[in-house]
Amino acid sequence: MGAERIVDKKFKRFEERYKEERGLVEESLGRPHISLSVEMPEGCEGLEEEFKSLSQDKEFMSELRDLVKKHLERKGREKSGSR
Amino acid sequence: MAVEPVKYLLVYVLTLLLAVSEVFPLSVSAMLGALLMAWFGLNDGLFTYEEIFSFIDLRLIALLIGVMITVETVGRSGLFRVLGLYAVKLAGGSPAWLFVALSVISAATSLFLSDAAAVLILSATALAISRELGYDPTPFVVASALMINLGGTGTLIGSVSNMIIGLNAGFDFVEFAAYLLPCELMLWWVTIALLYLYYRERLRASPRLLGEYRVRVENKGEVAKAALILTVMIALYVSSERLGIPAEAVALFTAVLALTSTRYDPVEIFERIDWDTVFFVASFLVLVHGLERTGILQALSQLIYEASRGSLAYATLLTLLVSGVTSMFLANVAVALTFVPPLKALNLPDKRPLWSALVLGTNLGGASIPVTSVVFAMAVGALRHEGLRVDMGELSKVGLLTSLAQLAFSALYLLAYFKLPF
Repeated sequence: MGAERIVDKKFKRFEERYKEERGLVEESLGRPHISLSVEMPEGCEGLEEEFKSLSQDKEFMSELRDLVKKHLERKGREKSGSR
Repeated sequence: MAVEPVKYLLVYVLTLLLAVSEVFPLSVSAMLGALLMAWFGLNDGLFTYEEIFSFIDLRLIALLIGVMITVETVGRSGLFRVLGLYAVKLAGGSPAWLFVALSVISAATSLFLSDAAAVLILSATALAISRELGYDPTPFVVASALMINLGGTGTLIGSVSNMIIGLNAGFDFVEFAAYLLPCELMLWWVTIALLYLYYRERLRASPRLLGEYRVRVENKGEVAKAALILTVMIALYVSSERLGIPAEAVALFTAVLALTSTRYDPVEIFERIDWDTVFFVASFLVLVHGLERTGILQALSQLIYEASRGSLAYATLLTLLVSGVTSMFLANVAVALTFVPPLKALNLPDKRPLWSALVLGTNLGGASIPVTSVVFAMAVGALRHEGLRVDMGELSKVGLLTSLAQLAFSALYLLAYFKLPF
């Protein structure tokens, strides 16, 4: 087993707690934080590895942040329009 | 009854290999070893069935579980997260000061929390802050992990190996701290200086302002309670010898106090106890006591005595070196448990330097290589989780250099503190 795989295996046991702690640190810094669980979409068979590594894909994370921003901006406009 | 010790030695080596290779978790590897030891030992008449259970030191298990419940409850309050973020805020935006502040708060947090809990909090803090400021997170996260491993070396409840050694040596909390805490505190600054020198180029970014960064404390009541529980715990440990209360009784009392005075669900707390370590210790005790019955560990004791030519100074340095180097590659809890019987059997008048050397060796060797150290692996795992590339060879080099420097400093400390003549 390679060194990186052994390290990943050790980290795996604590991964959920790390994500939780990371979220709490962000909250303490005044940046609200959410964790989502996303199922692999249908029709993407054979791309399990790519799907599982999306959270480490910088391009994907940047696109996701843009999507969240656009969505929140739209929600904000709707909110102010309804007042 | 004379027995053939080779198969018992093979069971011991097999257990260590299984634990190192990660084929099974630590606990399961030790359980398998204990099962084989029990099977062979009962068949050879080495011990009785009842004796197997007497090998498991219930005082030690009670101390472990009591401390784990208390630190899990206290850790859950967010007290150490808040303290960490305030320390970072005090350091301002300078990368050098941030490096020092995170290193100090990491070691200080580890004095009270388990290494695993501390590394989760401090890695998350180091990554969040260094990314916010646009600094390279690796030096901060690596230094934090190495300082967490160092933190707690000088206290009886600072690590599992300390609890094993402290109870067997008969050290109370104050005595343990008197021998080892000064060394730990000096090592903090030696380690920070070494790591800063190593990473100085990567810490040369222009200082940036932390901006409008306010630490939010959501549950002030729970944070205050956690601080109070910690204060009561330390006060009780410090006065335990005078009050005649054993360390494990203090641990259990503090655990009950923590569970009854906070609002956390005890079942959730119990779920987060490091049962892997508890079962590993219980099973490995069977393995070590079985091995002791074969006479192998007495032979090891004789070997230490002969190699050191009866000199306490040489025996101390040998214990420090061998326990330190083996802890770099094996679980340090296993190293501590294995060394206890031979050190107890050693025919030397004052064993305090030997026990202190074992504490320093098992703690300082424990975070040298990411592959064998849980603390280091968790920190590297956190970096990889954030999508950062890590060079395992380089990290192992940093860990090994740090451990070797810490062991060298500790050797000088032990010789000077106990005034050991050659």
